[in-house]
Amino acid sequence: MKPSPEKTSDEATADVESGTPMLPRDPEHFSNGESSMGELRRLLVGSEQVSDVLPEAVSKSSQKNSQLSEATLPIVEKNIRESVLRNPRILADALFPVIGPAIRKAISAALSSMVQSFNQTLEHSVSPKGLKWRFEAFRTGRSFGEVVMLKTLQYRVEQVFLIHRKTGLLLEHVALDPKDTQDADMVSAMLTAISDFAHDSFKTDEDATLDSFKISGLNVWIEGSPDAILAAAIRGNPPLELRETFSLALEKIQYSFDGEFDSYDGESDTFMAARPVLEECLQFQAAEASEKTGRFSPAHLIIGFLGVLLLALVVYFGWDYWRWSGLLETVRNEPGYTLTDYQRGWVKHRVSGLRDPLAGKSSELLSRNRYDDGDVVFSWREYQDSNPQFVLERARKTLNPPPGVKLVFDKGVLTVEGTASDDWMADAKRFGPVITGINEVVISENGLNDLIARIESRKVLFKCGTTKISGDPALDGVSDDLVLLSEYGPFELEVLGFADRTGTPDVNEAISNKRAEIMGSELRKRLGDKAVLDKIKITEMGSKTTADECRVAFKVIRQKK
Amino acid sequence: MIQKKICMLGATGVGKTSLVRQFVQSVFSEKYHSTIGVKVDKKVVRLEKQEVTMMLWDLQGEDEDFKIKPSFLRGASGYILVVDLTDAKSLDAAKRIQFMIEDEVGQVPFMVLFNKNDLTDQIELDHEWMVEFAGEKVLRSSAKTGENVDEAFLGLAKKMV
Ligand SMILES: Nc1nc2c(ncn2[C@@H]2O[C@H](COP(=O)(O)OP(=O)(O)OP(=O)(O)O)[C@@H](O)[C@H]2O)c(=O)[nH]1
Ligand SMILES: [Mg+2]
Repeated sequence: MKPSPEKTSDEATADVESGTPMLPRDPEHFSNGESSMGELRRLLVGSEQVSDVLPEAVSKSSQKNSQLSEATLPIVEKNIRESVLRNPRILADALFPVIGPAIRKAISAALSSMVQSFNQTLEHSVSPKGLKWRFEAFRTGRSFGEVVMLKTLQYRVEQVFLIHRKTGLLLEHVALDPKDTQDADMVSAMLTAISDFAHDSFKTDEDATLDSFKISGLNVWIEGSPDAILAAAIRGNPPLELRETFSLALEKIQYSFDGEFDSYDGESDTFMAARPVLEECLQFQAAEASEKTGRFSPAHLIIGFLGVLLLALVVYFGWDYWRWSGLLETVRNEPGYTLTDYQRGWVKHRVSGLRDPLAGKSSELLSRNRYDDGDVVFSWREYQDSNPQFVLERARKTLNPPPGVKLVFDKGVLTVEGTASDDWMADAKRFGPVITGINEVVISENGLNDLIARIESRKVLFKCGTTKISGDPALDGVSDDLVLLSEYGPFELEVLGFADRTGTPDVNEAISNKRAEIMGSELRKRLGDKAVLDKIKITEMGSKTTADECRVAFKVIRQKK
Repeated sequence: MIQKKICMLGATGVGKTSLVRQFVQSVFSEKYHSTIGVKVDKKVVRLEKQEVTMMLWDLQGEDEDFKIKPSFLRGASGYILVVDLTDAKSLDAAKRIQFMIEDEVGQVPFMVLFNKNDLTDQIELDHEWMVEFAGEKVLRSSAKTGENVDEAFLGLAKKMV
């Protein structure tokens, strides 16, 4: 051992050279505090032996327990903080080679998980499985996304292996089923062998491990850390997040057992402490149960579907039968229609028969019975209905009666009321019986006769001894009747003035004349309408005879046409 | 319990798989199924002080086309180098392999087995060659008769713990 160049004391040198550095035993040696501290410092720092034993002491201490690291932790943290405050560049330069690969690794992990989930989505949306799930989504009333989620979450981590990376020896193993524990050590060795084999064959990165492999329904996912491999056997479709669970668990183990990994010689008992972490990885997601709660089984679905179909058919045909009978009934009863034949088809129905051109539209019969235009095919042959309403309408159209003529039909007899030209009357008598339904034409003047009788029975009173109309409402009746009469025209209306029995005949005659004149002009005034006065010629005359009352009366005289 | 990784090494067809089968299951077959890659087997052995689980990595034998993959050797605590007494070339292969394994895992306990000792009339190897390679204590074995099989594996186990 080389002597220290800083040595000053012979005693110290002797101690150092004897191989056991010691403090001087003599308390006198430290006469004051300052010199004793200086001495201590000299011994600690100045001696090369201390620097020789220190690393060994530190290493032994950290092997024994974590006291030293705990004691130095705050100092190290403080130093780092101060170093950064003073000159951040130093630490940045030191970290630079670490940060680049770390970022690259994070990005590549994110990308690969994205690609994997994209693959899953593609697979699920277009594959037969995807179609099956779509049907299931339709059947259970769930959204497609929900079904895919349920399916992809259906998994069970059955076993987790913690493997020593270098030797392939099994460090710890947990399984859902204890029977699976038997050959765990062989499995772990073979897994390492497979991983090494893949690594050698495809010449991957130095620290790369096999990522995953799949045997029918069983996935084996593998995570690696510098000293260990975590392999999980998963049944079903595990979600990607599970990878993170495994990788976190492995990180935790790598961190907690750092020392144990270094000194590992095949004795795995220490790794029992990792069991809880591994057991946390034995996750499962039971999707079977929720799947079974799907509302229908396929058999239920088919039976239900057929039931609904049958019910719908019964309801439809019942309803169609109801409107069909309604339609036939309508055709039978509708004036102007005669039903001769009908046929009820699956899709279209047929109705044939006779139809009077004067009858209502056939599409109206359909809508009345809730059919659309195309639902029923009609075939009509024209005919002339003997219903009085149609006979009368036909007579009107054929004979074209002038105003003042009223046609009445009853039991084959067409009665013409009112007045018309003799030519028209003759035509009516001749052509009427040709019209279907009419056997005989009778010219009747009943209506006109009644009107004339009514007008002639009317009287308008005057105040006796004067030529003033006493405001008798009969005057209104007369003028209204005359308007009616004008429709039958032409006529002559005689207005007859009367005086009562008092007074002399001369005076009475004068009064009668005067009253007739006044009434005539009053009527002319009221019937100011030229059309009426053209048809009715008003002549006034005083009556030679007297009456009980002071009045005027009327007489209607037919004019030759 | 302690576990150890042990590699079975040697040229192809020397009897590595047969030795492992004889040791683990006490069976032998004349049929030859060449090992591809690696096949792992295990046997728990009781030594004086403790039990040891021997994880036996039976590697594919070397020939002209195939060289042992070093990554399979990583972490091995010991190895058994098998030489076929009836095939002189297998001794050269064993020598080569030993160089390689020392490169890969350093100095670890090992055994050299001169196998197929039951085929006495076909032995090609001279005793001197064997001594030259394996030292004075030449261990002749037979996977067929079981000669020196347990001795070899147990001897290695003792060396390792
Ligand atoms: N007679 C006899 N035959 C043996 C013995 N050992 C192995 N064999 C035979 O030799 C052949 C090869 O044996 P394996 O154990 O498969 O040889 P290996 O070294 O595993 O061969 P690879 O896997 O190809 O490297 C087989 O037909 C065995 O039956 C032995 O001790 N005696
Ligand atoms: Mg073999």
